[in-house]
Amino acid sequence: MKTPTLPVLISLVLTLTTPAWAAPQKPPAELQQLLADCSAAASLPAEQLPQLAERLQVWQQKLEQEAGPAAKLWRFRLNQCRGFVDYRLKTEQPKSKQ
Amino acid sequence: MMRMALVLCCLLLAATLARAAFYQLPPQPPQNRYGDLLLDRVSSAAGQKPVFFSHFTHRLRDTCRVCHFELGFAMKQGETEITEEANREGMYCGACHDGLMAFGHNKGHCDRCHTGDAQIDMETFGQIRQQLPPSPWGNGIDWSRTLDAGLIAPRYSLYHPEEQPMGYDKRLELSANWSMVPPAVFDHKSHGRWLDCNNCHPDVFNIRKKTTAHFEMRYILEGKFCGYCHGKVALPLDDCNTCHPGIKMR
Repeated sequence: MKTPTLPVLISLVLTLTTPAWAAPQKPPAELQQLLADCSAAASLPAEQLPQLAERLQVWQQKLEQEAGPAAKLWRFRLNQCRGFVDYRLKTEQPKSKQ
Repeated sequence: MMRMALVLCCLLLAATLARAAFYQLPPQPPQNRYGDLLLDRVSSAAGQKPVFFSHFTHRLRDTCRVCHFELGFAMKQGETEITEEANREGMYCGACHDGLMAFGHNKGHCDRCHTGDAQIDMETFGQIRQQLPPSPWGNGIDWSRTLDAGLIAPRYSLYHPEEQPMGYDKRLELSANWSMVPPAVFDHKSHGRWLDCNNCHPDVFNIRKKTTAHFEMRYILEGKFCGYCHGKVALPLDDCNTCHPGIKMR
């Protein structure tokens, strides 16, 4: 019985040359924590907001230099979060002063 | 008597024209096409057909928040540069379309998204719609009731399944500009199930800067404030009654 070498070879070459699926790049632990804190930014006590805003600024500056889709995505999330945190800081300030 | 009737007719005509000018609701697409997008920021330039995207099929599985916050898709069409490289790195569409969770971003599947123009097939659409609470608007589905009844369980977070919508349930009553129109009611809770706070604040609703007095229908119809989503993807503006519960729909 003749072995179908050509199809086997083609399959092998295709398997080896097809790029493996890349899992999404995980953010560094500190950034991961920051993103998690951002997810809870709405329920965070007002007194913790300035600290979160500072951490956001640090990471926004760090990521500004970085290229690539992952950095772009993290920047997007941090910008969204920063916008919301600043918004909360502005809207809730008068209440605490009263 | 004749003169009074004429004045009355003129007034009625003026009111009708004014209403038409202010509340010219955009024509709605067929139910199976409501919320469909054709994305062509980089496709045609790269020699590919534009990408067809159906909000209808995606919202069955994921909340708006997953894509428009966690995955970085801007709310405005064309603002996000979604490249093949990014998808292959597991970003944007590639976060789910990895060959495991959803069909992969590889050869053999290109034309499932790069269709140039397409629509969900009517049979599939009809089958899904039949199982969900009906609505005369949009996709013909009452998405809030669908969620309430647990008929769908769209993910709130792709990366942190334990995350839940925050229980912020403040209801706002916004008085209408026209005295005969009953106030609009905004419910944070029903929106928070789909969205993250930062999807709306501060970019769409910057209450401090713009105040609620500017949430007028003429701006909403221009795609501002509520019109950012309602009229394109979320419940269309034809359904006056959901936001203005005091209005009696015929």
